[in-house]
Amino acid sequence: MMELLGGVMAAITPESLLAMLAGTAAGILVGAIPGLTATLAMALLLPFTYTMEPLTSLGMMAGIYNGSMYGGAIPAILMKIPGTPSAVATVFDGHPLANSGRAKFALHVALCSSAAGAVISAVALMLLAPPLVAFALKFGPVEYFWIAIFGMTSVSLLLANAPAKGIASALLGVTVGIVGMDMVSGAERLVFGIRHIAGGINIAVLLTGLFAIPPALAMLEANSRRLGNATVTGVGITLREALGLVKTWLRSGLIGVVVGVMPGAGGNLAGILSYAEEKRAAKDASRFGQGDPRGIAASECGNNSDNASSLIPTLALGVPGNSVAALMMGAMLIQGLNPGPALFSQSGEVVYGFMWQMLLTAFMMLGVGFAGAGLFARMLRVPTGLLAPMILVVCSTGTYAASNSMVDVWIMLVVGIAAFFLSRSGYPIAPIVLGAILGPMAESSFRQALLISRGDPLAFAASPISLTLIALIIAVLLFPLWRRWRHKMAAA
Amino acid sequence: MIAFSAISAINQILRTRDSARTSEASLIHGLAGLALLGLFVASASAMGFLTSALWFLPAMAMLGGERHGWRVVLITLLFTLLAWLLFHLVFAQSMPPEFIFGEVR
Repeated sequence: MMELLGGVMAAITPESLLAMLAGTAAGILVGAIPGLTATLAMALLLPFTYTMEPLTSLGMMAGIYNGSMYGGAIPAILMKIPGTPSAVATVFDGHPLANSGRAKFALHVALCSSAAGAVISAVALMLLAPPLVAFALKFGPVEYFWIAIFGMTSVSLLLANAPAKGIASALLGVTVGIVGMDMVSGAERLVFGIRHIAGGINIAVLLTGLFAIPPALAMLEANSRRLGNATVTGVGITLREALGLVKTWLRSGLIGVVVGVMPGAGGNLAGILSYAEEKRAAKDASRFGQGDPRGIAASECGNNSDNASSLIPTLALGVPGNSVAALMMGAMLIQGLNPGPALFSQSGEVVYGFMWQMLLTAFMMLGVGFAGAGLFARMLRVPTGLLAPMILVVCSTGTYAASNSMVDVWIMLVVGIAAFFLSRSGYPIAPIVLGAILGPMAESSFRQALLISRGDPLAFAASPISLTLIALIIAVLLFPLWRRWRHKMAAA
Repeated sequence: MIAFSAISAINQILRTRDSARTSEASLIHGLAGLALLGLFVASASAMGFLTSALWFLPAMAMLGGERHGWRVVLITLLFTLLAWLLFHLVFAQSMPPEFIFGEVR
């Protein structure tokens, strides 16, 4: 409790507040431009965080994460184009409401609901992460090995349309992760004579190449599909109308938190599930799809309440469950902070400060969103053909600035080329990052476990936690087969 | 397994048709963009990031279908100036020597 309170003081320093405010505004702008996502914005920011204080960089990241989720609702409501994948369900009722001359009301419903979701999620992070850490202290190398395998398997299988492609992506990530010096023998692995990567591939370079280059190239394509003008019409939301949505927020918030904790799930699933549940629970569901504010509230609250809760396994166990969590983990690693139970005792002020930042940016989102609704709507007119090269220049310059080395810029380019071809071919990108982070973790835990057990393989199935994790891994592996069988049965 | 994954990925990439995934850049746009980015990185090594941005931004904008010449020139100049101010004043980063802007540090 004292640590949690100590975190407040760390989170409300002028630098941290400014970083959160800048991040929130940038996040809404990024989300409002179709094609730009939170992962892209965070990947661009990452190389610049080397010189920042931990809570300055994490505060900016928190703002971008929360802000972009709301930002995605702006084009969804005004133009029928979700700014981010998470805003898909917002289109269903948001656009009909805007078409009926109530665009401002729809945007305010989305804003209040996004803020409500972000608050619920941040509170869940504060309440659930510390007990999980207490539980994780019982884990040894064996349990960490299985957790790493579970993290990679579940995300790879759940994110990919084809399970084999998800697993292949994760294994490519593991290959990248083991580049460099072997910690036990000191031998160099997959270095191919390039001295610069003898210490491993810089995580910021990998994340920038994977998450910034393919979306920037896709924006060149989007420019030819130029969007029309969007106008914010009508009057905004009243306090009475906002209070009428509280039930929806609580229901969707709970769904979002549960979805967030699950590895591989994301804001888009949380938004769609919340929308479906709200429609199912409604006494009169006939207005859904024709401009019912509860539809917008459910979708936006659901996708925002996934945000902070998706960081629970990252902070408590060091296992990121999605690409944004992997980027957050990258930002922490850059600061010399290793997510996991030890982080809570060694850098409690930073961890709890970050939790408060996730909460505070929810309120900042309200202020920035209300003040800048017109400006954000105008962002839809920005020609993406000009934004794309700016993104590429910033990520190249940022990558160079992070290590003062052109070799890293070339590596980023190579990673970007690989990511472009892989994503075009249906290989998910997020498992590559998870493989790169969790692969080395699995390897070191595996070796430690073998050393402790003097080479006894049965040690890997000796504890109830290990057995539970093995059962979960088997269940995740069988899930695609079960899904295929169910489709076949339905078709027959 | 890693080798099999790499082979499977390369095989799939070679078989992917242009219209396979609509949310990605088309093959032509993507390849041209990557080629320009490669040239930009090579050019940045020789004459600096900001100087190279002066040709890279208009070239990429043209590739993206931007046809308003004056807007491209204005935004390129503004962006380069802003980037120079950012790296020179805010971050005080040491960068490769610039052909036009000189030493940025």
